[in-house]
Amino acid sequence: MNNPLNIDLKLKKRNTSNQPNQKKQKLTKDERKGNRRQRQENRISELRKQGVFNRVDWITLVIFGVLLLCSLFVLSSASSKVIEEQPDYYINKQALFMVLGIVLMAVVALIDYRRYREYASKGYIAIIILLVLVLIFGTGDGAKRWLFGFQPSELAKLVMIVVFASWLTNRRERLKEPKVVWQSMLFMAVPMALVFLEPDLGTSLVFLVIMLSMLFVAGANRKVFYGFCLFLLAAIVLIYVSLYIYTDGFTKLLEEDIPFLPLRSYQLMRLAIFINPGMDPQNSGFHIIQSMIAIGSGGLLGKGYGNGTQVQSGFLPEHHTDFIFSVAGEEFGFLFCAFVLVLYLVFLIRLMRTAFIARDLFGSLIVTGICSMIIFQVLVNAGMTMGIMPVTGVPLPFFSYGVTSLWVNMMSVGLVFSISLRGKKQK
Amino acid sequence: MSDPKNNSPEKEPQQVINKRLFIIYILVFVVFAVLIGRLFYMQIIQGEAYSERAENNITRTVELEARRGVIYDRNGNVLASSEPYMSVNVYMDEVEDREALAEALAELFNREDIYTAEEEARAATAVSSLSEEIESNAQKLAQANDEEEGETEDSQSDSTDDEEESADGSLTENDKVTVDELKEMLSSNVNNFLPVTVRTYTYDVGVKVAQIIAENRDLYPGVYVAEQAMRSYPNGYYLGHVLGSVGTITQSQYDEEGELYGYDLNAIVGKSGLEEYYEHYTEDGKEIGLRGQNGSRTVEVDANGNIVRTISEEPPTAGNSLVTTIDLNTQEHMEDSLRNIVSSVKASKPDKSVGGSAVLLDIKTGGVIAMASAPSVDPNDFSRGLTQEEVDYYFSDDLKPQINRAISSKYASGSTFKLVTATALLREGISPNETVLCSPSVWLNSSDSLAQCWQTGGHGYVDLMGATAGSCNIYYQLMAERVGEDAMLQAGMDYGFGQKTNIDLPGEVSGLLPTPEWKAENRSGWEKEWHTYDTYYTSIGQGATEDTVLQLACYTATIANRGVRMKPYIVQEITDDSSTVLKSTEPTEVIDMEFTDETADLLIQAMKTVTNEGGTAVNLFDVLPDELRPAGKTGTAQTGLASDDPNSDFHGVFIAFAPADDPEVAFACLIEYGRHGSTSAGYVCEDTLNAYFGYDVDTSIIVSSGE
Repeated sequence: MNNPLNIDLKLKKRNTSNQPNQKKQKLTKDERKGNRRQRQENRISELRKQGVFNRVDWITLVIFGVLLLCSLFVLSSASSKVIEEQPDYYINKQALFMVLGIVLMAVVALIDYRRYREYASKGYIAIIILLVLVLIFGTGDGAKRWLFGFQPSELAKLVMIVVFASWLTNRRERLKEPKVVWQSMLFMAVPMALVFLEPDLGTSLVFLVIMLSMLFVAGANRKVFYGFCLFLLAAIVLIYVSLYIYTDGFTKLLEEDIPFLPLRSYQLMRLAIFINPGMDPQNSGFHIIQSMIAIGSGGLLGKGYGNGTQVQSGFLPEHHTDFIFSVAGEEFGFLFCAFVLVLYLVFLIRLMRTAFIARDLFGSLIVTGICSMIIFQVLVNAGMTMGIMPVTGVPLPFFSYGVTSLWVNMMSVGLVFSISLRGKKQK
Repeated sequence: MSDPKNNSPEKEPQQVINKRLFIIYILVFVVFAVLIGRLFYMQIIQGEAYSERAENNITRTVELEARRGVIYDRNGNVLASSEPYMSVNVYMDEVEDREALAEALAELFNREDIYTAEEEARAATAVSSLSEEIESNAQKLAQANDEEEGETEDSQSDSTDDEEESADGSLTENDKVTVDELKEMLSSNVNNFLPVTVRTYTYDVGVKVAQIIAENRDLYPGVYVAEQAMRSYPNGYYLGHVLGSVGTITQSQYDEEGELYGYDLNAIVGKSGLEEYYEHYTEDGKEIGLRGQNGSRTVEVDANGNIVRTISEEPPTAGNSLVTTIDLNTQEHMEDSLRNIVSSVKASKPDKSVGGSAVLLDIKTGGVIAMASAPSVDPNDFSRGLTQEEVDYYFSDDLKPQINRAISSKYASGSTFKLVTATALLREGISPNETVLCSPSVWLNSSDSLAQCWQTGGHGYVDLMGATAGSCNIYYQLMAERVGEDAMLQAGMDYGFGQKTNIDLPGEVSGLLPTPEWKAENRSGWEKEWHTYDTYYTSIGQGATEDTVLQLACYTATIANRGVRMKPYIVQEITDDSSTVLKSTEPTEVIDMEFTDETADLLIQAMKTVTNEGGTAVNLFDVLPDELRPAGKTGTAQTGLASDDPNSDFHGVFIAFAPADDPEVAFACLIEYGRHGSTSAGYVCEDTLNAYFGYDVDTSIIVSSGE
């Protein structure tokens, strides 16, 4: 959480320096208090002058609130048996984080997003440093993803959306030049590569999707853009063809890395298992099979709160984090899950509307990045639990337990609100 | 790098950006359409199928094995029963790390604190020292048969070592399991759906082990302790051939009967003897056999295999018990004696595989009082699974210990057959007082290849009594020629030769009584026709004649029973769990040969001469009081095997019934390579009758036979 707080502090500093007529001599406590109140009143009146409060999108907020309540509901059932003696442990923590998250969201929404352009290059450097630090000092089993209890790669997604939006806005006239497009890609590739090295394939793919959607909306050179998309498609085909060959048509476990592919064997295995979960029924394949059984057996109405035989009897170990959608599927059934997905859809559509009314390209691009980030994560996570996406360890936004991801997502929503509050007038 | 104040008008009109945004907009709809569609497909369309899989995921059906019926002798002694024990099974599909599991299990199995002193003592006699017992049994058997001396010594020294160790109160070497052995066991599994049994314990120790495993579930993934019943035969190898053994069903039997009788692939079924014959014995369309009906229990489990609750339970139906006509005491003496004789014969014929068998029948009912075959079989070995050493022994091609030689081996019965001829001539009205000259001049001058008499110089003029007492070949051959082969063969058929007795045991052979029709069908050329020498040879139990020892016993019983032949049987009653009799065997008369009293008396009288002064078996039965003395007949039969010397390799045969004056039981015995009936099979008869009549004496006398 260091970085957004840093930005915040800097903003405050800037605010003070913006008011040079303030007295510089020593002030009494009361006076200082008075000054602070004065400043706050100034700022609020400034916002009021901009008509910000009239523009609060209450419908979106209500939808978001319902989504959050649904998430707490599912999590309370999903996490009730993770710690036998403390069934409320995770749900209490998550609810507390959520309340704090709402405060964070409000703070971000109140800050004028346009000020971030100024700090774009510093933000970029800070993120690179953080990601390098996590590569050196990071912790976690198997992959280095954690630094002092939070995941820098989660934060990096949001910061990079802002930084990249600024980068693209600065070059919007020259985006038809192939060279500029290549440079932009390289610019995003650095943090993406660092995340990939943790290794965290899922999050680096989120970066890729963010980059593509923002380049597309910003109007990058078509030849280069579609050429790159074709290249990615070819890469996926190449990976699956070589997997087909090396695993005997998805029947045998991969024993070693495939030469010339930058993916490790376990990552490749996950990609292969998604094609045939039966080839490794004891590890990742087991999770996919169990998750599909859980969701499928939920039927129309589900088995009821806490009654999921699959998820509650330990067939799905990660069911309060990565596989929380399976809990929803098994215990609450199709109607509830479809309702949640529709909520997501309506919520995202309403967020995307902001891109149309944003005051500038910078804002539109930020909204595009944030929305594509959330959509992609929902697709990959829910798709994984239903066996149509490989297992990549991407959490379900707002639902999966985990503070970093929750806060980053809520700050993202706050950022979109910051843009919509300052957007063009609607009819 | 950037200027926040730079708000110069965008070159691209907002509409263009909006158009691109709209494409993203559509992509969002597509994504959610895919997700909701997939959800609909899984939960609504495929919901049933997934529900079933979820159900299978959490329910386990455990088979509750039906207790197999007990087998008793006539006095209520237990011959076979099912002892509960615990087996540690591993389901390989739940195991991720074989090595770690093998290590954890090895540590558990080698813990000494699971045994208390008392249990240890019991374990030493029951399961944990099974291999010891196996070895010592194998050793006894090997000694009895004097097989492969070197190996005998080895196993002897092994087993004494083990005994010393178990006496210390620590685990025996046999109980220690190494990690490597376990790893091998775990990887030997070809079928992932069937568990591998890695260890068995007595019930009490097993319960403790199960508890340890349940408390440390993560250490032992896929490991379950199951209560099972092991077929146990408390008398070891005694009656082993008759009782038979149990073992895992074979693939072919499973394919044939699995569905019909509800066997699974792991089912333990009767493999031989009574265990096989009465496995699922059916009468009046009702199955009343040994096996009973397995039950099942369906339980809900969690991902670790812990049982959450029992969903349903169908209790097993115990198998029915058999009460046999066997008298265990007589059986043990008969078998000890048989083994002694066989081993002493083996000592004199080290290059031959020597076996033998004996049967004691109740002449009035046909009930089998004792039936023994050597070399021995201990059915316990099969229940536990054979060691390599045991496999080598039981599947030895020369020795064939698994064959019940009393019903499945056929031999030329030699002179014991002569009473068939005697019966024929008495039936044809030839006077027993007519005499025939037995001298070398007769057989040397014969043009019809008359077999010479064994008595050098001949018996002189002999009548029926004299010829039977001295077992004269010439009298019987010439008399047979006189009554003709038809009368002789008819008598043989009436006595049951060449036909199965239909005793309630599997694997019986019919033997062979050669007839002109048989010759015409099975021989070629000159041999297609019946010749006088065929009559000669058949009349003295040589030539193509092949009989089982059980047939000889039935034949003897028929003479003693004055021409009434009873069907032999072993199981008197089948009783259910609560001792209700489900089936009781009524003695069955096969044929009444309608002897005149004279014929019956004369045949009995002729056999009496054999065991009395001047007879070939006068040396026997000095323990029995006069009123219990048997009547009998000796036989010395050519083995008829190409590898044997026709002048020195003879089977020793002896038949008898007792008491001679008021017959109760009939006996038959054949010792392979025993040479003279009286000095081999005769001793078995003596020991058996002593035991039967309660004149038990030391049966361990070693008899030196023949040369």
